[in-house]
Amino acid sequence: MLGTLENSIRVRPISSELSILGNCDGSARVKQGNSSVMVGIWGPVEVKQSKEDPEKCVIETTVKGATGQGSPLDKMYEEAVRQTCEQVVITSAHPRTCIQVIVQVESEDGAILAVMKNALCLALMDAGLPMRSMFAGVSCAQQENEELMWDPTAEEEEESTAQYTFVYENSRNNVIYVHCTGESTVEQYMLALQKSRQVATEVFGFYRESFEKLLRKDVKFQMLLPPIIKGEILEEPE
Amino acid sequence: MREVPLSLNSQEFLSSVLKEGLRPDARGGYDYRDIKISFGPQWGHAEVLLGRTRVLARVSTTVAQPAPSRPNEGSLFFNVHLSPLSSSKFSGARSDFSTVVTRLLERTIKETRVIDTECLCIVAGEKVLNLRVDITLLDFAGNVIDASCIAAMTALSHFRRPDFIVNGEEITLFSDKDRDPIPLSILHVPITCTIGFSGEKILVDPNDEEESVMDGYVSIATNTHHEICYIYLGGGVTLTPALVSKCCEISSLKTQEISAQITKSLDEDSALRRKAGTDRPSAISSLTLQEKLDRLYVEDRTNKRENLQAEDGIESATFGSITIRYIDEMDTMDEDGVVALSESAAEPAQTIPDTSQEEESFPGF
Amino acid sequence: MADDFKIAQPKQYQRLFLKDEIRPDGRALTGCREVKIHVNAVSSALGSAMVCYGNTRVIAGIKGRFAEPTINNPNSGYLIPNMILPMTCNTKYRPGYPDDAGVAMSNKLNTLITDITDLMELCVVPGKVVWSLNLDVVCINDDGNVLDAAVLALSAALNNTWLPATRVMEETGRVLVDPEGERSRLELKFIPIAVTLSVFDDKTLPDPSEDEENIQSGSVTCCIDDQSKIRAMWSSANLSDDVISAALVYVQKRASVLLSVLRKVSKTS
Repeated sequence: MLGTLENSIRVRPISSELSILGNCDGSARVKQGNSSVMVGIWGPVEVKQSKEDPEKCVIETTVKGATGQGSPLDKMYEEAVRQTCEQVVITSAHPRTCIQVIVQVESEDGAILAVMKNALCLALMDAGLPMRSMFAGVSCAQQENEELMWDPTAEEEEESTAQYTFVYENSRNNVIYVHCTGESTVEQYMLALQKSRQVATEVFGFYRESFEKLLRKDVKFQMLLPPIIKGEILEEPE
Repeated sequence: MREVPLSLNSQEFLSSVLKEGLRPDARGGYDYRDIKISFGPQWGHAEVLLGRTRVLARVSTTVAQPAPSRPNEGSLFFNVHLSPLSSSKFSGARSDFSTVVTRLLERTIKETRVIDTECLCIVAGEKVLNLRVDITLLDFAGNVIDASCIAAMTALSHFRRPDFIVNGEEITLFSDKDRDPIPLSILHVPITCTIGFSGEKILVDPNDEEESVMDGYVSIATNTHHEICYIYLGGGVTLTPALVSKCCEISSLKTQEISAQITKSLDEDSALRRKAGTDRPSAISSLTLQEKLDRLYVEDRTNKRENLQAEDGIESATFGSITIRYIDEMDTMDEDGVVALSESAAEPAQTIPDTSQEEESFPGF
Repeated sequence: MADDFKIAQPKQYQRLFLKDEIRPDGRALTGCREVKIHVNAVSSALGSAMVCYGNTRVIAGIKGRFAEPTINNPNSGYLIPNMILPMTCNTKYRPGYPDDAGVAMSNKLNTLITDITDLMELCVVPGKVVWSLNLDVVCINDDGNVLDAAVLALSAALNNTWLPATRVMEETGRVLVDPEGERSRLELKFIPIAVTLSVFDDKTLPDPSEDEENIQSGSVTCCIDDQSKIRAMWSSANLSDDVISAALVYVQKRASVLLSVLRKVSKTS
């Protein structure tokens, strides 16, 4: 996994667990290095009358941090998660309903927005909601020497001069969400935007692997999937 | 979102089955579901899986001014969040049940002085370290109380607080990188054991279905020294003194078992961290750590299973893939009023290092 | 008739205008509404500014108070932005408690201004007392594009902030404001300007009005500072790289116009 990247691009090991919550309609946990996020989806379910929309389903998001009482940052993450869902989920398919997205941050060590988006995409797919495309989040930090560092840890984020999070969709390869802070020139920004797309491609490959692993347990799909060459898929990434 | 209640048919089935002394997941009356304890990359991050009930516990510290009544003690604060992830019956807002769990943890852990809070004092009357334990229920399948208590105790035992020095008026708080963090001083380990009552029968560690049909429950916190720390009676059931003492015996036994497992998993975690070359969690990948832990857990479980099956003399019936084991006769009592537990329930006491002492104080086993 | 059509089919209504290269309020596709800046609008604040983007009106005021620094940064002061979106500015906000949109916007302002000034300059007595500046931004009327107006108001207010002199009471060690002492200007490292483009169909429309915000498929907000560096960017629209680079060119042009106005206002005050 994640082997075909340019040499300069290094990311932390990424792992996922799908359908780990028994009661939710869809759930996923994604770990990237020491950052770990759990996302659960309920929906489409009934909606409060005051929020009902006759043309599309309403997306409600809740983001909870791992420690402490809710920080104001959670509200910004909620907005970010909702915006991405609205871009991708075909909301007109379920009018007068509501999709609840619950994000639980389990441990935070950098690139948290990207981890959140990756877990969100896997959970949405696990819930079987109609989507226009998949999406993958990529975080990168610009070091003081102008070099880019992908999937940074909290410490690396702290030391960097600019932090970017891009979310790419895979139908037209466009970017559907950007969160950028710090100081950067237009050229540096465009370079980060273009290079990060490579990481997104790898993440899409990772989604595929994750789902193959899940579906292999289901007899219906076993025939459709290529056979496992012993040890190939279950091998632990070094 | 509206809660989906258990259907009438299921309710009827469950109560009739429980009356016959059977449990839907093929457990014996005194059996806990499998407990799986795992740790995150940071100190004080524990996840407990009790059957399918999943609870996350995180411990954190803040520097604050102490309460005027206790100027040289830090405080311990519990926050229980029943996340809407876990079930449609929890909205994430504070509910009666989350207050019950919070109070129970406070009574069990805070008020029995599990943590030596005087160690958390930086400058008396001015600055102390306050501990905060965040308990998040991620998946609900019954018995949240026990899962939360195990998670809280595991996380507190795992947690390391930052080191500090006081130099005149200047206080320096070291980051984990500069100085190795220090474990909390834990004086004893109380663990709750929740026992449900359905008619005449008792159900240790009731799952979500059993909870919805049972009459009430009792949560008894005992520690490894066979001391009762707290008893909570929930659901409006009445108990005879004999039944209470019987439940206390069960709880005491289960505490031994569970605290042994907590110690074991903590040892395994520290061994893994040491093997990774450093005690500092940031240096190891959580993925590999997690995977190694998983593997250890799986091996351990399979060994245990095989042993259990070999020694298992209990009558069991198999229907397809579902195994139903009969609950042991629970109402048999000696003249002394000491409960005679069946072998399967008493057996795990082997894991306790100090069995001789236990036999002395509990002649019934 | 036209009003009914607008309510029933807002997207079609917008499309009919855009086909003729004009927007419903009479602007050209890349046109912006008139911007007004009025600095020192609140005399009791250390610095303040009122900004109008067409009918959108935002007021920013800066108030200072003494606070205790944290253990880890004993010499750093605080900058605490707070965006207030009361129900009176637009009925879409809930009354009473802080609106989620307001909290999210406060966060954006916070990330934008974390490095705007040297926080060490806000130290009064090292390790004991520092300045804590509350940057309150209140929206008076929301007719779209509140974020741009809020950033401009905040930049203008910060750029015209004067900290009063302080003195320490020798007997008690208390810190007091010295009304006779010389005030010092808050030095800014950069001045951020936000420019928002609303995405509708395949068009990017700058400075969206409220009607346009309600039907947009996403928006891009880019913050450029006076050294034409990107300070922040928040985008929630489906965009290709070409569109983004074209947008960045537009944003830079627009930001330099707004910046020159801001500089002119600051000089005259």
